[in-house]
Amino acid sequence: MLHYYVLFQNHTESMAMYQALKKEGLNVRISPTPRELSVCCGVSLLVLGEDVERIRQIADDNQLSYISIESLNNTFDNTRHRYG
Amino acid sequence: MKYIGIDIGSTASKVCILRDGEKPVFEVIPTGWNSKITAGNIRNDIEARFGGLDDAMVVATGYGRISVEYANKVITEISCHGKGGYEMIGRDCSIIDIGGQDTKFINVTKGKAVDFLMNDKCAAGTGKFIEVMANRLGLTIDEIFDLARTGIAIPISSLCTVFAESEVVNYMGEGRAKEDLAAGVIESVASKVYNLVQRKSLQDTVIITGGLSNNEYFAEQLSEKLGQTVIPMEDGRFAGAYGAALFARDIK
Amino acid sequence: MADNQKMWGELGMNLELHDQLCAVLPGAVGDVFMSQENRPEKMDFFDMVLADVHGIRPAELIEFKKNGGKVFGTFCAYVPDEVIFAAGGIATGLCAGSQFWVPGGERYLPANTCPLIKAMLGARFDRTCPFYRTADMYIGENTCDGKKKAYEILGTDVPLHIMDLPQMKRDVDREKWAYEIKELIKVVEKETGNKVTEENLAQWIKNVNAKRTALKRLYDLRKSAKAPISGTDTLLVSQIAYYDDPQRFTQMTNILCDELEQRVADGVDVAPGAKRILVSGTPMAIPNWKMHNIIETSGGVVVCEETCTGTRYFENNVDESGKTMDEMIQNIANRYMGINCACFTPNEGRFDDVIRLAKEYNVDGVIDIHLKFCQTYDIEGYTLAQRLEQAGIKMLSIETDYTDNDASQIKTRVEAFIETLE
Repeated sequence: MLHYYVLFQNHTESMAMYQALKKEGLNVRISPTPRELSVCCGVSLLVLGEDVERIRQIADDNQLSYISIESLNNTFDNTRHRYG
Repeated sequence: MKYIGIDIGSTASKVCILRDGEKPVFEVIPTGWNSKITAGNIRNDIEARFGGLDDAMVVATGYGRISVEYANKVITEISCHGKGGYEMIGRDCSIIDIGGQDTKFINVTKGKAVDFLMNDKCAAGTGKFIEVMANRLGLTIDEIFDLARTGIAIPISSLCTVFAESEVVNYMGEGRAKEDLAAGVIESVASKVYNLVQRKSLQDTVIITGGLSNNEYFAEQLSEKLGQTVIPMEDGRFAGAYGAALFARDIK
Repeated sequence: MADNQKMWGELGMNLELHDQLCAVLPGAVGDVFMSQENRPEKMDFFDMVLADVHGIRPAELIEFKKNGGKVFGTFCAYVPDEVIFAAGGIATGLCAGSQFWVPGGERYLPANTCPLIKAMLGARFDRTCPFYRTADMYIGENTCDGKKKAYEILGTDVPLHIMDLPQMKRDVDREKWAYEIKELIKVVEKETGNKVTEENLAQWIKNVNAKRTALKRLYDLRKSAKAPISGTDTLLVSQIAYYDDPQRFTQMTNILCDELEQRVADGVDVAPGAKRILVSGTPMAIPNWKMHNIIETSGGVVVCEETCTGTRYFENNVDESGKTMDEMIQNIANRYMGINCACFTPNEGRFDDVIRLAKEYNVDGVIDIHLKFCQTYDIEGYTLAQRLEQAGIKMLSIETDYTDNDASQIKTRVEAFIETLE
């Protein structure tokens, strides 16, 4: 399944965006940045594909910084039972 | 209406087909390396011989149960052996199921598994242990039991299959009689099963299901260890599949 | 995010090896947490902490140290945080919940040592955990033999103070634990250069009590017939309790509880039809979510944990009526000596706790879980099974470690156990 992630420089920026998107009533979740999109751990936001343009607009309007919005084809499988 | 139970075990896959007013039909095939392929083969076989699955309810069980994608329901082998074994013997019982990769003890009350134990992730006391030892002695599973009857058991003290194999190799090096080693191997499995079971209270009736269910010699050995008659079951290896088919019949 | 790499480098971490952990964690979090439906919104704070577990809090600790603060790493629910914070220090739990750290530990310890202890040494000596690198001093404790002896090896690489935990619960033992707390005060005073005053200690008794009260509130909400939160999510909260700033944690947990209160009122159920399970046994350090994940994908919902990452961590508060230093210290000692760990004998209190909790949380069954080679909890399993049987409560016993390879066998047992509860 295609998931959309908003990536940030640091968690302060992530949380500022998170609050802004929540306020707008968007479906947004906090997620560790998937390996494929970043070289190290970090806080990113999982959003819906249909909201991407609106998120860019909200970021512009509120002068919120982010690195990029990326999509990734990954699954959240609760029966994979691989814990690292 | 058909009610089908499919028990994908680590070594063998068993199928039970129940039709109203008819005796259950049992089938067994080797599981092979891929449970999904096995499940597909079973489906093709059922369709060829008994017609399509449109009028069927399917319950899958056994360690490969999730591979049966066409199953209406998935139920663990513990519950299925409990239900199937109870139906076969016709009263409350304790069930000892010697499987290919694990050994289970199940207490059944009113047709339902109420309590169970499984050996830890270790092959001792399982069908795998007998398989490894028979291989080492150059015997088939049937042969090792036949030979064991004629021998005097040499105690095999290692609980670990790998170490027990070394122990057997040592005895072989000493030139011990094959029948005595065969008897030792079976005795070791019976002891391990006894160790597992002794933590729980046994019902008045004790039966064996799974791969060794129709082996009278093994039942005798177990009876001796447990101090209680253990009843071998002719179709005991199908208890899981039978139980699954019975559960399929209960699906509303 | 490059900031993290820089910080980890400055901490002297093995970046290459640590990177392997960073590579797998997001996938595990996705599978275990992001896959859940109908999660409370206010898990967001805890999700954030988890998403950058090796970044955010370590950065705060480093900032604290820049201003002369001292950080103390702890391993056990018996070590009283009150004392460390009262001396102006920060106490932080040291993680040891992943298979990732086990091989590193096996270089120093026999393979048949519990995975928690192996991971503890692996995380230190492999230099792959920022918390282990940040702490100025570790506070160990004589609980089980494995930890006791492993601390001797750990202590060759980092300043380590051991608290001698009594193993019985007579008056003399409670006095002895008060003595050990006094010794700890001396140690933290020396390390921080600050005095533990009556005023500070009284304040921190209150602060840590407030944290325990918040956790108690969270757990009480799980007594509701409809589960307002999954066991897996609550486990994450309990795990983070060991790391986070206590006052922020208290605030965030209370915010979560406000939402859960509303959920209970609205009849929200995150696991309709699931069997209610009490988990008892050994601690589940972050990121060990294996058993909760298995149980909650097998028809169960965990409604309570009688573990160190559960009730043992927060039940009973320190009596706040103490005025003098001695009174306060004895009150702290009494509270911690009320924890029922299997390293004590006799330990009837733990069996009573499990039965009480099973009733309070109205559970369908108990799953007693111990880490492999944890002898004390393994042995107690026998008596616990008997006590529960007498009480008419069903129990399943599971022995496991941090590896993934027994997951399908455990799943069969858990599913079968839940089927017997029908």
